[in-house]
Amino acid sequence: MKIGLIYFGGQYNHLILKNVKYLGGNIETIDPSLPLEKVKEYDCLIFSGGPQSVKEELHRMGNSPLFVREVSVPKLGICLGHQLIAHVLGGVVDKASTPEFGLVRIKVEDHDTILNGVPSEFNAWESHNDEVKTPPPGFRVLASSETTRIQSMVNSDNSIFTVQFHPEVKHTEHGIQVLKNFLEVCKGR
Amino acid sequence: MFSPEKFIEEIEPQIRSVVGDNRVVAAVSGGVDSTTAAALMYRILGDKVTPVMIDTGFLRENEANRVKDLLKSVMPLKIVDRSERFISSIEGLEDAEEKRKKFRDVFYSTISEIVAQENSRFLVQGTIAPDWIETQGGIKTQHNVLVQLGINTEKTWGFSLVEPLADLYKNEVRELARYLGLPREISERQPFPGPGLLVRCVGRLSKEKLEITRKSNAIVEDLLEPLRPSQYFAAVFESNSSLDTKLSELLHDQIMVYSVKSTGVKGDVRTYGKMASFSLRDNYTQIREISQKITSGEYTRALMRVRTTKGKYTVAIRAVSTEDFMTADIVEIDPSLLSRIADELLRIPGVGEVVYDVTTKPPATIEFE
Repeated sequence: MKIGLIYFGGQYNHLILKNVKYLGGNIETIDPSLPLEKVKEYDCLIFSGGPQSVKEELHRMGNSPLFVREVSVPKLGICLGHQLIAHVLGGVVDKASTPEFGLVRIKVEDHDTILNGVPSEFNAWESHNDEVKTPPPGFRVLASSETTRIQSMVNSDNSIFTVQFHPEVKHTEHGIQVLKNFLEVCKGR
Repeated sequence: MFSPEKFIEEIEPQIRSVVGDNRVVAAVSGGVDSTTAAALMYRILGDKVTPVMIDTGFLRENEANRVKDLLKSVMPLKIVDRSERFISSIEGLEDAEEKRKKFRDVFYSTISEIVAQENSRFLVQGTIAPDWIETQGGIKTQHNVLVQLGINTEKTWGFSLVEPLADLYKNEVRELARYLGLPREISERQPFPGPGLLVRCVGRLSKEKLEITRKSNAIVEDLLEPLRPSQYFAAVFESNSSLDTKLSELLHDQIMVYSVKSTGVKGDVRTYGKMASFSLRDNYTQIREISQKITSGEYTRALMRVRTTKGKYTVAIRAVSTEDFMTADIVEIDPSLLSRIADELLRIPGVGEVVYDVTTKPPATIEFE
């Protein structure tokens, strides 16, 4: 099993890489300019964070919209990755009404797969100027915070998972559990 | 998880193949990273390595001698005093990036002279993962010993960089330091940035500000040490500020905005903006709320005013908890202790105000510049 980590220049990308390796996953960083055919060789994909805004700067994110649409493997979107998946699949992403930086309290409404084994409320660390306003058709919201309604989503066939918070950083409680849950999904394929 | 033994096994052949029979200079700042990198190289290559500490003028009080003494049994440290050169080159500069770049230029030209004197072609640096993540955006090959800073060092300075810790985080470096037998005072030491106190003299650099920064850091380190925060220090800037009436009304507080700027990181984008302060309170749930409201807008940092009198400079106390320094939380210091520290700091001539920086990372960076 080979996991591809799509890198948009986010600060915590390397932490995703390390954490997944420590959890026993075989993971490689992928440049978003890589041709679609190459990306199809991976068994699952993680879309990481980055400084871009999907609404105005999708052209700075390489072939990643194609990866979202055309590669049918399990996917995890983190922060910018969460926004990218929402935007590409028909949801609405825009400036956050309250940008969240640092500590945020997450309330889980539906544990589903990706939030399996985490408490119904926990502290997470975030850093985002944009937010997902409306989920794409067929997605349901799994968690929210006081200032951002959509903190986590899943699609109808349980293969695309997204989180606005950063499970890879130490200050996010149970973040490693979220990554573990995703690895389980990957292994199940 | 990380194993120092395995790490050395992996890195040793890589280092030997890169360096060959050449002599190597290792730059030591006295912080955990650079000292560990030097000790690792010294362990592998022995006296082919010359560990050097440059006194840049931005070191803490008695730093150079203390570090030399601490390392006596590990490796011989050569101290080179270039403080005049550093301070006179940077004095008067105001912009954070300009100051850092100037520091880097003077640092590497100084180092390049030393490397030449030692008949060497290699410089060892203690660069770790968060450093290069913050320095560049490009994808990095993992487990690569040579990490370029975007400059052709060979061409510009006449040496190649060896960065054996480039893939590690601070907690892993500490484990390696313990394994290499470095004294506790080094392995458990709080991080100290390469440019040292320079990044804590916020805004325009002057000798006066630098001396106040040095004294403030000694006081803050001394009084906060028992709390064992992951990193704790003092930053100094001009007190000039003006009232933000709109935000004051909104937060029912007096929100003062300083004229100097400091560095932050919001949504993976670097910010360089003004800082705002609010009045002292003791409930940290409230303090966190105000801090978030101040920083979710244009300001990079929220500072809580511990004591305000008359004077040219404000001293900001900073104390954070973090393991890997990629994210950081504030330490909830009791206001009575903050006020005891303020008493001491206000004794320094020129200091008129003491504030406590209550901004997490993100949106602020740990250091001010």
